[in-house]
Amino acid sequence: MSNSKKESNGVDQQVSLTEHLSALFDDEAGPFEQRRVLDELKGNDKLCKSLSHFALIGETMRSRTSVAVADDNFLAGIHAHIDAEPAYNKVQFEENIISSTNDATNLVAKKQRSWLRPVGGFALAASVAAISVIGIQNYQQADQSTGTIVMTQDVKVVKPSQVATVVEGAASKMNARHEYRQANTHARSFLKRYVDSHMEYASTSTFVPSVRVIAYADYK
Amino acid sequence: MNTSLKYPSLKSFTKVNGLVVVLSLFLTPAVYADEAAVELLNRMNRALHELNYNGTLAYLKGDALSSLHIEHSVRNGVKTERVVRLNEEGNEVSRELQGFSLASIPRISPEMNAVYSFDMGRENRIANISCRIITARPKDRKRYLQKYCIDTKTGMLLDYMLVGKSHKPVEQFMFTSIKISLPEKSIEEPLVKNKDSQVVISNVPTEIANQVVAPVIATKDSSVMPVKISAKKLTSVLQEKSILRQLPNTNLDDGWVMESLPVGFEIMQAPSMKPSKVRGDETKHYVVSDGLSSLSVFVSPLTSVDAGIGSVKINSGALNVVTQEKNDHIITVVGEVPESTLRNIINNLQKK
Repeated sequence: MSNSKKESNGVDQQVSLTEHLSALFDDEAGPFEQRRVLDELKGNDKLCKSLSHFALIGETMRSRTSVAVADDNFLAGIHAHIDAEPAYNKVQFEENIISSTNDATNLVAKKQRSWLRPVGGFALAASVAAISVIGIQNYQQADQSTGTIVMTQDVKVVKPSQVATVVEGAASKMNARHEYRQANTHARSFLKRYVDSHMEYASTSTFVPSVRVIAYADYK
Repeated sequence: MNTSLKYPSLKSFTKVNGLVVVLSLFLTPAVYADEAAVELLNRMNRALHELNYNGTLAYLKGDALSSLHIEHSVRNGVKTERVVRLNEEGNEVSRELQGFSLASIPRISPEMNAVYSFDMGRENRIANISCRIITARPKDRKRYLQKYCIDTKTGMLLDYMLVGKSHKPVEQFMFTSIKISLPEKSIEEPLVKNKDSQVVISNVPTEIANQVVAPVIATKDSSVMPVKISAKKLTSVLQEKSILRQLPNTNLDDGWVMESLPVGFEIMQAPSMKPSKVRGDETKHYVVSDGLSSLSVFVSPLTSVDAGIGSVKINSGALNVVTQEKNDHIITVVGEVPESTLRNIINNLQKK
């Protein structure tokens, strides 16, 4: 292959990657594209610069005010700190939540960790930002799905076994503070009246007003 | 006196001017893009009211996917609309969906620019029709991002979604096939009536044309019979909302005060809910809206019947419901906004 062909291939690839990056920024990239672009960002300086430019352009167009311009090394800093962090997993995240409820132990631990704050501030922010791109959205969705109640405006008779399956399945995912309750007739009509009234007077969305109450989360 | 402190040098003056010129060149297309986006959204709004359209749409709510058939027509200035679920058991009447109307999408007003940025996106293709993506991007996390894909020729909305914090659609509909035509003005068609002179719903066409009809002068479509829909349904979305009364401040009835509201939201009073069989007292209904996103706040005295319900959290697609007991009242907040916004509203509602 001649040099000129190689160069043109390199340019084509760069153009394609920039397009993928643009799609990622517009929330239009699929999971495969997302992974590919994020992998590519690790070692592609040109793409990193494009990312910074897209971020700057987007932010400027949205806010129409002066924006803080991040250094080109910002992304490199994120990658460096991610590499330094222990592997992220959901269990670890949940453990952190649970440990935060043990006040006494936590206070001591917090004091011990306080010196880390100024030093690790950037690392933490960078990690959180990067994790939010890579993986935390999955956690949030899982968390949101725990609160998901299968509802429809046409109240239907649901077999107790089905309810049990729904509740059990949801309970295994949910945070321990939440309890699921089976919706009785009163609870269903109570909620239905409010949803109906909201749809009648307030709703601005065009979506189907269907709500089927089987169970609901009691977050007390 | 050192004049250089008072007056900037010509060089720095030129630099500043240059920067202003560059920035203005950079921002001007954005402003035009925004105006074009708003214009197209408002054109879409008119089209949804004024055009005849009939088609099938895929409807995603959370993780559940279903399909609907929609017919909207305007004859002699009278709008009729019918939506039927295609993937449910039962006859067409029982499968008819009340309360769903594409025409309920609100118009964009200048005040909405304070909380949303309206961006013109790339071209897309839905139901074999070229359309333009418009995004209403909230400037905070109090509301969902809204994404439209609009046929630039007719203004018809072909794809609409609300996107949650996880950057995934929480609710979406998308036409898979659609016929669009201009409304008929002079052709009078009789309503289909049964023996008891009651208006009945005609058959849904079993074979829905996949061929997309470009916006041409309408021809009579014999496959779709006109249907009169109830007065309540016709007026439900827009006219009844005029019943809402704008509140001059955040003081509600019975000593309740909304201490603060998210930026862009205003509070209105809806008619109180009538007492139900198990509930003797009226429930006050307040509507909090920024024009594009809205939620309802219900305040009702706590009864022994309600006491067992507890603090409820429900999510169904874009819709969230949160209830909480407060000062011997039960507060219920319902809306197509993130759950955190509903909690924020409940926390800010105080009894004085």
